[in-house]
Amino acid sequence: MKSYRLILVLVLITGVLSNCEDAFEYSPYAANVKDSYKNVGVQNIKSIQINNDQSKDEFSFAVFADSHYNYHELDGAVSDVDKRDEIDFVVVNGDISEHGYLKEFELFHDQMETLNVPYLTTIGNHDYRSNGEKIYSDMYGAKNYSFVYHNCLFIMWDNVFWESNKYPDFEWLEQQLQTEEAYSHIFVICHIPPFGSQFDDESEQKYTNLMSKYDVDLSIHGHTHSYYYSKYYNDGVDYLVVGTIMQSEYAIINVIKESYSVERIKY
Amino acid sequence: MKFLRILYIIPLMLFTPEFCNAQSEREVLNKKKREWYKPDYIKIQFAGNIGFMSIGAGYNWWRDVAQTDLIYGYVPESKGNATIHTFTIKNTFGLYKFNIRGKYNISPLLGFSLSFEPGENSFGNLPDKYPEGYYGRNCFYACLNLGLKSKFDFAEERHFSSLEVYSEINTVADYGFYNTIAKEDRNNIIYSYALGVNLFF
Repeated sequence: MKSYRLILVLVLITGVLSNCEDAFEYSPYAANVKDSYKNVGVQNIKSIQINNDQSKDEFSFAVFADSHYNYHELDGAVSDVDKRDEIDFVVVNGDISEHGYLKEFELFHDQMETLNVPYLTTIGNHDYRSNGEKIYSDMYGAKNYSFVYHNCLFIMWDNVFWESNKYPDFEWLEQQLQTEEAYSHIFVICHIPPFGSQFDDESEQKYTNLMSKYDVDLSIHGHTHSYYYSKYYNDGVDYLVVGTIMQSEYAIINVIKESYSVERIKY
Repeated sequence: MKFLRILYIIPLMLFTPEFCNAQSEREVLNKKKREWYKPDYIKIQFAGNIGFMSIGAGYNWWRDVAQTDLIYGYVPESKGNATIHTFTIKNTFGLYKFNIRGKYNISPLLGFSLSFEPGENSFGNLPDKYPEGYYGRNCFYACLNLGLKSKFDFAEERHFSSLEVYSEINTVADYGFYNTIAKEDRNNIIYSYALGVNLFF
């Protein structure tokens, strides 16, 4: 067979095979999210909104954080949540991947999809690594978003400084907080606590001022891999850092009318 | 599918050079004529986690049982939703050579590779903005391969004396680790395929 005919045959075979998206992978850093994984975040918000009832004032939601590649422990958390009827949805507060590999996001979603309830996410610093930001956006949509559930305002905010190479959008955060609605509770959920790494003194001050100015009930974080729940700045705002899934730990927030409680779950 | 985990533990000592020599006489003569540093073959590979298309040069060694390739791989934006450049060193070992009717041959192969990807958020040395020890380096990754190859001599020699065609099942070492620590096997999504040719001078 002459060389040019051989090359022609190889080009044709490659052209056909490159359309078989499941069988061939080009790089762990590739960000070509398969159709079945796209927009799962948008679909999950819609699922939550189906059950939204402004007149209800009692519900619970779970918060996972920092699962990275610990799929065995993640499976344990999913099983534990599924045993509890009171939980309406799960929030995963960042670091759902380790290296930002597409495969890590797929493995994570495959596991979370088995939950009996929908799940929502915030982006963590590890999720920005490699081409993780593109993958995250294709799967989960906007990195800053808010929603209302049972008359509680949830603000999901991207506060990753270093890996994103940008300053978090404090203006957007304040716009969400400047609401005239009388919500029962306001929960701000973002991966890095203001007293953790990445925040400098100015941004820490900026964040904590917003929390106290707009009477945020609970500021929820992950990132440090160690549990914390108290009024860190003694300004009336509760700060919760959820322990890591790596250590078989998550939290449940029980909203009961005008109050709420935090449960530290170890499974 | 648990048995596929054996991919990680097959020992390299299952084969010996005596059983695996696949060089033709013409190829041996050509090799003698060449300077030592010139490659024995040109490699072209499709997929296999080292690029959408990869091209490189390769050397036979250990009495031609082993092959070492230096490869550049490229993923265009249209295929990876990101432009990716990868540099890989790949080692492949022919496990045994089966002759079919004295005319054809087929060899199982086992290989591993180490790739380097100089991306924006992947790095070898931690950038200054991070505290010491914040991340490990993430611009390197290893892959494991298991496959089959077959070699054909060209009837008429022009640029190349023979052609080796191979197909591989492949996984990134990290995926194998994730699969090992997960409660359930994820073999259905951690393995993928690669196809390639080696064009021998």
